[in-house]
Amino acid sequence: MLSRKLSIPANTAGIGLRSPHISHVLKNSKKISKKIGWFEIHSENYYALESGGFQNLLEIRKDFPISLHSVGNSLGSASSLDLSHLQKLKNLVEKIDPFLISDHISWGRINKNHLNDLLPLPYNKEALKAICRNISQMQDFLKRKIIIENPSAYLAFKEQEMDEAEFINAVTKKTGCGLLLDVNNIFVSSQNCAQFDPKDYLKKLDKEIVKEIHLAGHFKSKISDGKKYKKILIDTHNDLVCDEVWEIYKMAAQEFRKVPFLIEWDQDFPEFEVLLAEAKKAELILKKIKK
Amino acid sequence: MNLKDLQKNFANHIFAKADKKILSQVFHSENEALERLNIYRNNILGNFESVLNSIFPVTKKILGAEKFEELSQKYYRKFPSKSGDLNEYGKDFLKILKSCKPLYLKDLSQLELLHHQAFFVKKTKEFNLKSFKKILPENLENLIFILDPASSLFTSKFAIFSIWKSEKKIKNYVKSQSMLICADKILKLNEEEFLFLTEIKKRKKLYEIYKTLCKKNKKTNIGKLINQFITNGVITDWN
Repeated sequence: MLSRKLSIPANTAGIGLRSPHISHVLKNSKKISKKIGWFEIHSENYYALESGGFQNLLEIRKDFPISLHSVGNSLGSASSLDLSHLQKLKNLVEKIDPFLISDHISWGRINKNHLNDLLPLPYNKEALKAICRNISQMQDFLKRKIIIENPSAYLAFKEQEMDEAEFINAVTKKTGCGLLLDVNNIFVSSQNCAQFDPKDYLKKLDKEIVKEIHLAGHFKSKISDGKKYKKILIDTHNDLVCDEVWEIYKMAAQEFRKVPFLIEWDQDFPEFEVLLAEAKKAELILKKIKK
Repeated sequence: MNLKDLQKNFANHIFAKADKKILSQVFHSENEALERLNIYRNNILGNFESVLNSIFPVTKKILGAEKFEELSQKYYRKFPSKSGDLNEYGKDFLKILKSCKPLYLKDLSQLELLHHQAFFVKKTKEFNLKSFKKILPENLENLIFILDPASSLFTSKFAIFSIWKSEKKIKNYVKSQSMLICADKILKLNEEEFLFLTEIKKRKKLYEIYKTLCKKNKKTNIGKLINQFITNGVITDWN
């Protein structure tokens, strides 16, 4: 097993590592390590521990701390967790020794069938109980705490008993897990569902729960209600971070100090240098705030 | 509505369209709720289809995009995803293709699936030529060669390799072809090469393989075959 001595200093930039950039990172790791401090990977892409892709990850792990970001545990499912999936994550954790493990405030599995997506939860007591049960089961299984990401939503449910920030505070309090604060998701959900102001959302969150911040781009689309078109934002991670999201990031960086931050890009991949430039931009914002 | 029913109805809406029960739970007007649910449907079904696209690119070209999409939809309704890992999706797609025309489609898709699965198998170290050269000649006949674990052999009564390589339909497709799938490569094999590698897979000793090859071709050059498959990284070790 690798040593966790590669720990990350606070306020350090990371990048979501995806397959189109892996050979570039392997060739230029020394140079890249001067610009960013860590990488985050999608856990499920490395469950085949025999694969060439996993061998590459082990090479990268020699120079960089790694955070494991999962998409398939379906923490918000009414049913309990898929233990065979969780075992694969545990196997990966043992090999990589990540400094963070995360998944989402969402569901994607019902009656043993997976929809393989991050689907919305109603914010009520029953959903709270279900997600807390599953997070606790996951933490007990892995024998360590995880962090959970606030979702991007395209709809709201009628029967809400609390808002998203209250729901997150309650989950973290009951389970001891942390929050992966995705500032793009805050913007996307606030625009799509018009139920909250990002500033109020950030103020409402408990101060000590935020353990990582995500920054990403989104896609602008529109929907019709039968009479007129409405703007809707799709969380595609295929573009530069927009100005409004940078503004939320500034507020978040002021509220939650000493938190590692990450640039995510999952489609229409640009050159790796574009991601480095986005990371640099986030770093400069932090420096200004510190002054 | 309890959480389990809400999630069940949501999933029904994604796969069966317009489930009124979920619409009644969504905050927005019915028209708008449908549009918003469509975003999730497009994401989910788009993800499933793009996994099938990436595993079966030539099968898609042969079938045409429209037919492929129709079969993809049939597939995710009949064989729902059973894993939170999308990399595991698509294994049973061959069952959907088995009755499709052209006749060779099932074999073509099987070849593509083997090629895809080879990606997840461990790469082995390179053949240790230095140690191999030290083996005494009298011990060579009892050697058992080992193939790269990422390799598999495949034979079809159709010209699957030619179709896969050209990525299009061909006229004379009723012609048997054998292939080796090894990591990211697919190689066409002649009868002797296929027999040689099949015998290695069966863990036969070198002298046994030689005898089998001689039955087909008395002038067989086993040294040339060994050299060929060590050089291209298919034989990776020996016992």
